[in-house]
Amino acid sequence: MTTEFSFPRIGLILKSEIARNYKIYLTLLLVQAGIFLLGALFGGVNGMIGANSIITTSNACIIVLMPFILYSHLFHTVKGVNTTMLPASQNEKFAVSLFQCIVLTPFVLLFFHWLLSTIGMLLTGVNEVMTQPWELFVSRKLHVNHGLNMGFFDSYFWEVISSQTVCIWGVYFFKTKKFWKTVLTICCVSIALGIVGGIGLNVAFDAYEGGMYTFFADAATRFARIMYVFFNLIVPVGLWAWAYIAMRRQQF
Amino acid sequence: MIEIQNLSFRYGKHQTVFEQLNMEMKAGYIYGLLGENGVGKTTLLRLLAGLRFPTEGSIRILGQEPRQRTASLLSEIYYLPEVIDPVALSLNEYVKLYAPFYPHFDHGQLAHYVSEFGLNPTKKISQSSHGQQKKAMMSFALACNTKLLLLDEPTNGMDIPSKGIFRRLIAQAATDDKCFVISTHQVRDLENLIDPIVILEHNQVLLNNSIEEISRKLWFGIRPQKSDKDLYRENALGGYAVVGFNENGEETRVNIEMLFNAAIQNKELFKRMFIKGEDMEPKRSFADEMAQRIKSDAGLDERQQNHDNEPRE
Amino acid sequence: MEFRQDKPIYEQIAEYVCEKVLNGEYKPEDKIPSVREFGIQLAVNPNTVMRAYEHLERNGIIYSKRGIGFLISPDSRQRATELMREEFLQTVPAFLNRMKLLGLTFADLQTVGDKP
Repeated sequence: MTTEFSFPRIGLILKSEIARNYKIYLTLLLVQAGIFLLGALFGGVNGMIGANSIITTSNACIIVLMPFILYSHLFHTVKGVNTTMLPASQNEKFAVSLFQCIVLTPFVLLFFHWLLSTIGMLLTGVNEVMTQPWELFVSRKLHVNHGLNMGFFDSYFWEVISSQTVCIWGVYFFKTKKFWKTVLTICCVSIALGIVGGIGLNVAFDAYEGGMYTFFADAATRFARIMYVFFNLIVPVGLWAWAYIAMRRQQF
Repeated sequence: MIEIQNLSFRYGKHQTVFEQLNMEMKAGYIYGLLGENGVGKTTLLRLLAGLRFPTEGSIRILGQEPRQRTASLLSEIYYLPEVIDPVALSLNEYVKLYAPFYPHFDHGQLAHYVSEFGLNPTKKISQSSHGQQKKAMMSFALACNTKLLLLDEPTNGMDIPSKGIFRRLIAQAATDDKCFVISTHQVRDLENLIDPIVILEHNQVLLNNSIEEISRKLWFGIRPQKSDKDLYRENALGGYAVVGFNENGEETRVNIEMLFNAAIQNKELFKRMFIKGEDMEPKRSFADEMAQRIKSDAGLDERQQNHDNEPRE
Repeated sequence: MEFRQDKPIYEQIAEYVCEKVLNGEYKPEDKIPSVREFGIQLAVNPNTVMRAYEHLERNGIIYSKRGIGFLISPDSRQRATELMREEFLQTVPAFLNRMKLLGLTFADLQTVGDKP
């Protein structure tokens, strides 16, 4: 099995990472269950609805930050040796890390959340959930009535993933203090964009006052759409690629 | 197996560790890597492992560059660092997860090492003592049967009985198709086992030769009188323990500690004798010629030190 | 195994084999351990053991047989004695020098030898 990309070996890497990380996953699930339980115990149905929103938000945050939780020791002088020396190609290791962050973590967290919601629904007498369990993911009816389904997550999933890519990039780009350096980078980039945006808006407002109203409205919508595609498709893919390149160059 | 060509390695712009290093290491040998602290032993091992990249020049192991970190090369290299990361798994669990990555892993050998070292393979490695941790990872490393084994200060932190067991196991594991590179300053722990000896100095290799070659060129023993031709000298019962030239072809036991001290005190000479392979067959005026060279080297070594920070031609 | 400082290790290994020949532990036509096996037993680099075996072979104490390994020669006892005598005699000059330094005579040696 010494070709550079083999699925059996990817399976082995994944198995070893899960065996090392299962406690983290378990803790996250227990925290979810804990929040739900507290909500149910102290607030009844409304408590469960409240807990549901909290879990949705916290899951989103956890998914975004998962790269730091799982890979903070990558390229560490002592703790990073085993991972880099593991006999597998860098492509395979990178693929596994992406899989864990983008697929496995969300799946585990969301599936468990869905389980809790289903139980909650059953407890509050929404028996349709037994015959049509998938309704929790898409049904607005259940949502409006009981606030116990996945909430906004089904429509904001991709945004969470694209935010996560910044963290993936940070994990591979920085050797030490990954989290703080990524935070710093985000701040700097935001400030820079803010300045650029502010100048842009000033220009736009001048144009607006000069009577270019309809043109501005159209341009704004088009601009918003372009920005959406940019920040949720081009930037994530670009950051993944940058992370890959950074990985190949890391020495420690 | 290992070919190092014109290797230069620098931290930043000014901290040079290696400058135009050339070295070859072959299968079937246990190389002892000696050098003072900070001279680059660990860096060299990490360069061989592919954890660090050469600034200039190339390293090829089994025809591949370790910096590429290919699966096929990594499965033939095991690097056991001086400070290991103790995993929260028992040795048995660790083996279950990671042995499949090494195509030549031998479970029978692992069981043998575990019993020789007296380890408990069901105890979490992170909860074991420092010495037990090292022995556990050492057992795993040896059982991987990689073609290249890099050990950084393996006996540091090992108790005395374990050092003896370690020596025996290394002797057992070293076969003709494998190359072991062991860096150490506990020379006595590995005496008799390491052959060839590599002595690293700041920026240069002073020695990369077998014990046999060294014992042909140098003489180790006790002499009643001092001599100008002594390369290194210590007080001893009977006069002086000396490292000198082997003038009459007599073979003496190579004392590695004294060899090291002699090398450090006569850097240029060692380089010429052992690295550049200048013809040292005992000749009529051989001993006198060498005495001459020592005298001029004493001046050369001083000049060399002054030239440390100047760019090389 | 602990080795002395004053002789190359390969010579000491050869001496070790000779001792065993002389005290009857190794008999003619006995197979001795392979280079690797012996290296493991003594915790010594196989190259060094190889040199010892070459030394012993050159002096006729052992011989190698294809497919089997190294065996003790039929006339090993005599040859081992010769070899060890030669090496013992090489230590005599240093011994005599010490005697001279301490002002001892052969008569003094006799006294020591005569003690029970």
